[in-house]
Amino acid sequence: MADKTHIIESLKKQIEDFKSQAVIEKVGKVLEIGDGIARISGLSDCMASEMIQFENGEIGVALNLEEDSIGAIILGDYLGIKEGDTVKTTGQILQIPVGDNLVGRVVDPLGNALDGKGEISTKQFLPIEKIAPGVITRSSVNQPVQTGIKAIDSVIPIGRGQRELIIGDRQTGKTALAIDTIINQKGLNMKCVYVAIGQKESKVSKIIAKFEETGAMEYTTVVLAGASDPASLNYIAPYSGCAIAEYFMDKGEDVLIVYDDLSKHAVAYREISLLLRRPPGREAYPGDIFYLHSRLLERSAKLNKENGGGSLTALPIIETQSGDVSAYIPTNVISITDGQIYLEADLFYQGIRPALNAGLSVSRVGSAAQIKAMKKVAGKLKLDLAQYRELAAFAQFGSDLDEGTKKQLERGKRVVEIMKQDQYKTVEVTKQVIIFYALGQGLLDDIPVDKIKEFEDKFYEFLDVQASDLLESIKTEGDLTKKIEETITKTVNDYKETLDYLIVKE
Amino acid sequence: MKKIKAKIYAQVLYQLSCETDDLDSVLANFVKLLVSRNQLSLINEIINDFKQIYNKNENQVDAQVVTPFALDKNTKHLIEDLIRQMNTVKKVELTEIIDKELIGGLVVNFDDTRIDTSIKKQLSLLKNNIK
Repeated sequence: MADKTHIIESLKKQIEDFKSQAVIEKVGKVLEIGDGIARISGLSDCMASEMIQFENGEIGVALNLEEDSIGAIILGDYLGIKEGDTVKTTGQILQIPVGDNLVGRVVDPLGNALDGKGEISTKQFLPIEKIAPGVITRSSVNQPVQTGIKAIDSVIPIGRGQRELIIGDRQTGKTALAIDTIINQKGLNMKCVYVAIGQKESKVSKIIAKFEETGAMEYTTVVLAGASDPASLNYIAPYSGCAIAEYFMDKGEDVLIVYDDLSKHAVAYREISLLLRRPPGREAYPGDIFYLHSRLLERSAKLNKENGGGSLTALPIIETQSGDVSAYIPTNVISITDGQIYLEADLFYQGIRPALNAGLSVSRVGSAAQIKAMKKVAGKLKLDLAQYRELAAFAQFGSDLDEGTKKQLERGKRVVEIMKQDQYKTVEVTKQVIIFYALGQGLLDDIPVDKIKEFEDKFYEFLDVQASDLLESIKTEGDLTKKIEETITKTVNDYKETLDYLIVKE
Repeated sequence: MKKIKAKIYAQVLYQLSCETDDLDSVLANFVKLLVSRNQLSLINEIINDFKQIYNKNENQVDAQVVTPFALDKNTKHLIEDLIRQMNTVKKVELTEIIDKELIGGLVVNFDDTRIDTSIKKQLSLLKNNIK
């Protein structure tokens, strides 16, 4: 009862406070409407990428400003808009709500909640398009992003503020890599934004369920533009996600953003451009398709101390068609990013998962950010892997190999085996260091290749129970001292003594 | 034969209408020209563009006032004065439309601008304000 009177009182107050006033608006008329594009006359003082409002409340964005008409995209349902409808300007560049409230939520590219957990109330708005931080405000990449994926953290390390492309055919585990990385950020002081562009909503709902199950949703925002959403929403989705992420970066926090995927983004932009009658170029993409992605990815940065020291790490995903990395969009994005992780269908079907092609994958800046201990073990690992690849090719022809070559091949097989990793099973960096050290020192050479996986899984459990001091000391030290090296060797040997398949062999 | 745009036709027509006294024959010839060039379908566009060009050159503006009931002369003059002040034009061509849905107040449209003082608008603003 008290509630009711309270509501009535507050309504009365709001009505009393309301001041009536004459409204002066700038209006235009819809000349042409179709395919999510409107051509509007009037609105002579409309700004580029200004929000405009149609009669039925839908928001549009002015993209083409011509002599006596403007071309606009409609963000949402364009079916209710008719020719002759009035359109008014809002005087605001396209902006979305940002803030701490967005963490743990699923939103559309305009910042509206999609998860049914109620409205998101934030005070701050940021424009979705923003000029990237300049050279003066940046510092070099010096902190690692722990992806929890052994093959990446060792050979193609990613630093905070880096842009690392994940590229590969469909069904090669591109999204899986990105999801694992987000899940692994738990407790690592990282905010995450997952931007789904033109993805199947069933797939996204699966991903969100996984995030919730693993607790990753506590620090993650999902921006969703589904396959059935209009191209205009797909087009602005990555910029919205970036604006949400930049809010945290500007506060001095570290943020990881995944754009899944930019090839669909390019396709959405191509659709809009062609409908706006901009001239098509190669593969019918418009002339500014490179700028479309470069201005987005340049917004990833590691800021220097004076600017808060925040960082924005981007993991864009590109889907190739039957392994063709020399198509237009893949080459563009490869040249913009600081390295790429190349996933191959052949490797995937051979059972090497993640199906990472170590030869074509690179990280141009990440090695500066690796912790010292990892740097030490990774050097040896890379060498073993490279030698194995060279030898494996001609080892198929004959069996008469000298002792050294045989040893090298055996080592290589184990390296490949260790690099395999199941989905959702990320490995802490300390454990990675230990296993790679053991591998490099030849401590695993007497374990049969088909037992490596079993050995590894059980060994991690053993480390958790028996050698938590060792894990702790690597974490605090960050480096491999003589003492730690000795302890690792001892721990591995201790563990090996408990294995029955080793004892039986002897 | 290159198609000529409606805007260019309108400009030419305006220039001709300034220079000649015999507007009827100019118009007749103009329509014949459009027919011979197969562009008679542009006629509506040409009329619109012509209006704009004419208004611009004669320094006048087309305005529209929407009210729930008919206005008296004085009020109309006041509105015309207001538009003249806001737009710095000499002449205002005012058309009146009656729309009961506004309930009260009036709406003035000219060029890209709309001044809305209607009760309908105030109510919708109030609706947006109450949460």
